[in-house]
Amino acid sequence: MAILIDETKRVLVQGITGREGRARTKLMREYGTNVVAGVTPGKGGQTVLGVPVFSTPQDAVKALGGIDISVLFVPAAGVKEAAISAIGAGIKLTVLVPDRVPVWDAMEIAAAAKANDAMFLGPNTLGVLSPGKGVVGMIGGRAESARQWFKPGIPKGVGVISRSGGMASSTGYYLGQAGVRISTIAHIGGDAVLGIRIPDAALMFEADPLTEAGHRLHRRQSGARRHAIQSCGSDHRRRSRHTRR
Amino acid sequence: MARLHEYQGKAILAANGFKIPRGRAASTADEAVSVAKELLDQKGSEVVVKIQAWTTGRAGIGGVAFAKKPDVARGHAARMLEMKVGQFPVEAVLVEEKIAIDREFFLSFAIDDATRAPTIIFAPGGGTGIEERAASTRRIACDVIRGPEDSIVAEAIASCGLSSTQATQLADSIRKLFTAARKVEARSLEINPLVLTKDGQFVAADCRITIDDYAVVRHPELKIEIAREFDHPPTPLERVAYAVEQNDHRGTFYFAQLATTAAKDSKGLVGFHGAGGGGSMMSMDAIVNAGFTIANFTDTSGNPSASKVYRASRIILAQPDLVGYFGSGSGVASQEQYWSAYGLAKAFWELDLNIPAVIRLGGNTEDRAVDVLQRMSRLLRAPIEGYRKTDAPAMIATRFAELVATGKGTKWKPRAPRLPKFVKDPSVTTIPVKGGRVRIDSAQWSQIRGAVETHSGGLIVDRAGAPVSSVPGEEFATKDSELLACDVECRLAGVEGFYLELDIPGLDELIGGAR
Repeated sequence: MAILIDETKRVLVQGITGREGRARTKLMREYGTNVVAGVTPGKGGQTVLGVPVFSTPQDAVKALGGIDISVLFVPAAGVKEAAISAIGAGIKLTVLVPDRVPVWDAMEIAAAAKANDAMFLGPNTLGVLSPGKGVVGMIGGRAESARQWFKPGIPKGVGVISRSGGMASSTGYYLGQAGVRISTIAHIGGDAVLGIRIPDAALMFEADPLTEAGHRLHRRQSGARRHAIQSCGSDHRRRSRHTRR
Repeated sequence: MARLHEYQGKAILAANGFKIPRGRAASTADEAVSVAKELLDQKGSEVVVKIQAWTTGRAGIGGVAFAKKPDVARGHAARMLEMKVGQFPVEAVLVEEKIAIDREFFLSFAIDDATRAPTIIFAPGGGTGIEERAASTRRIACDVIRGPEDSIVAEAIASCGLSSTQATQLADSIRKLFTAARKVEARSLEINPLVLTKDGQFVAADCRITIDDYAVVRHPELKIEIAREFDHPPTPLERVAYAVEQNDHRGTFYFAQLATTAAKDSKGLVGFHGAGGGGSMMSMDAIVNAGFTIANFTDTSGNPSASKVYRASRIILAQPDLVGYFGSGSGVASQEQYWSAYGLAKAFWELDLNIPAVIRLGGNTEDRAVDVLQRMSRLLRAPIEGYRKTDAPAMIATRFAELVATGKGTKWKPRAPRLPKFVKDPSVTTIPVKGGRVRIDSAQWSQIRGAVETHSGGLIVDRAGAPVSSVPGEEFATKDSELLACDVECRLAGVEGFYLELDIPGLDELIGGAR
């Protein structure tokens, strides 16, 4: 099962015709992510790497039916509009990869998500990767690297949460070297206002039958971290091994 | 977060309908006197002179003083303008009328990461103890667009014992605080105190405001030069670096100077080049534990262009007295690390590096990255060593110390990059790219054509015996990373006649100063 992303999720790429969007679409698909559509305003009707491009998320949903996740590779200044249009189209998880998204924009996205019962990851996130199942965002880079570094959580695995993208990947790699399998790596992003925070991700792992323990790499004690410890730490200890570096 | 001074914050408040004390900022004692003269217009009136500095407790350090006569104000201003707060010299004082205080309130805008929404914190003054204040503090949740709801504001101020006119004014102040914060995209905006004067007016007697760094670009009216919170005024080199970041949004580049001299008992100053926050911190710990002083913090991450890494490296190497160059960040990077390797290799060659460089570029394409660095090392006087994700920061820091120890105390002298001679030849072929230009030696073209076509991946081809770009100019201009790789590969192959010239505005002037 893993959390947030697996092979069954239908993924939309916003900004698919750009430098980063095109490159990441290729890498995500090579890893096994089910990318069903792309969006770039005004470029509806084109295709990128065989993926149909629409002008709005609404158009994509209309043409193709339900989409589970939209991942954004658009300039920071365009993130608010793009995310809110994805949320408005009924997409329940938006992954905001760009860095430097203004915090007031992030708050507007949060308000739209709340009103539509949707979630978002980021901004400023490398994304989320479930080994052997799929990736949205940039974690792992090349598919062959990601396959080599991160061991699939079969039958079960450890969940990784980090505010640092580099540390999320490094932790996943080191766990793999130590023979530890992973259900999902979630980089929640480094910004002040985040969609999915450490406690939110921890609770998702807690509810996931394929996750047997949590690994959270952090740099400083924050309110969110204390909350995460309170909300699930004790249960983890009772149930399983608690991995820590 | 970009901070503004009290007087700048008050101007924002005034523009959003707040009453503020009469007065102005002054940067000289004479100016302060002329402001004081205007304000000391009635018998018994008094002015307050306040340093404009990013610190709390200004009164405790002599940064707040009162004057009934212009000459007294002069004395205060002259003394304060000589002060230094942290590493910041006091560049201005605010001279204001002293206001007659009846009551004080605490009013603050903040962003709540738990609710992902703006919040306003309000506390009536008058309480003497901090516990008393905590008990009466109200948090007012705000809608990000509409602001606080009237009923919640009314409830928050209900127990303050104000007349209905005053309560209306206070509620209005709370709404105006939100409007002001939203308009300038503040991260925080504190009015402490908001004063109820003896004649029944609410006046903002102080203001501390920070603006969201990522929104500064949308607010040229705030005239924020560098949207970063340094613990010192930005250095000339930091200004140059900041401009590089503003001109190229492919990936992230951060540069801050930490030290210009090595600490006592240190093995020397190190130019630090990290990638990714977490990995950079681990690597900085490693190099400090190995006995070195870090000259600068630099981060190039988020899939930066090769040109950005090149420029970062040139800027790091504009610092004198370095004993070595240490590059290490996230060890398992998602980005294609060979682009970073090309950027570094070009900078090292152009500057004829003569201090050791230890570079860890773990992650995607790390083998290719290490290979580029190793090949470049052969062309340089000092060793460059490349490392991978399996090499721990502590291990490479130890190796770095060994290399520095064998370098016989060589210290880096910043220098201008060496340019191939043909670049100045009038017959040179020039093709523009983003922030620079490709230069090709026309006389050599027939000999180097094959190498250039290969290493540029066909971006440059032959047409009628002359080099031309094979793609439209606009597209070609964005291929600076590929062309940088071509530049380095030609250099490594001993092919003279191809050069990518990348501008770093303001850097040459600084290096000139250092020589």
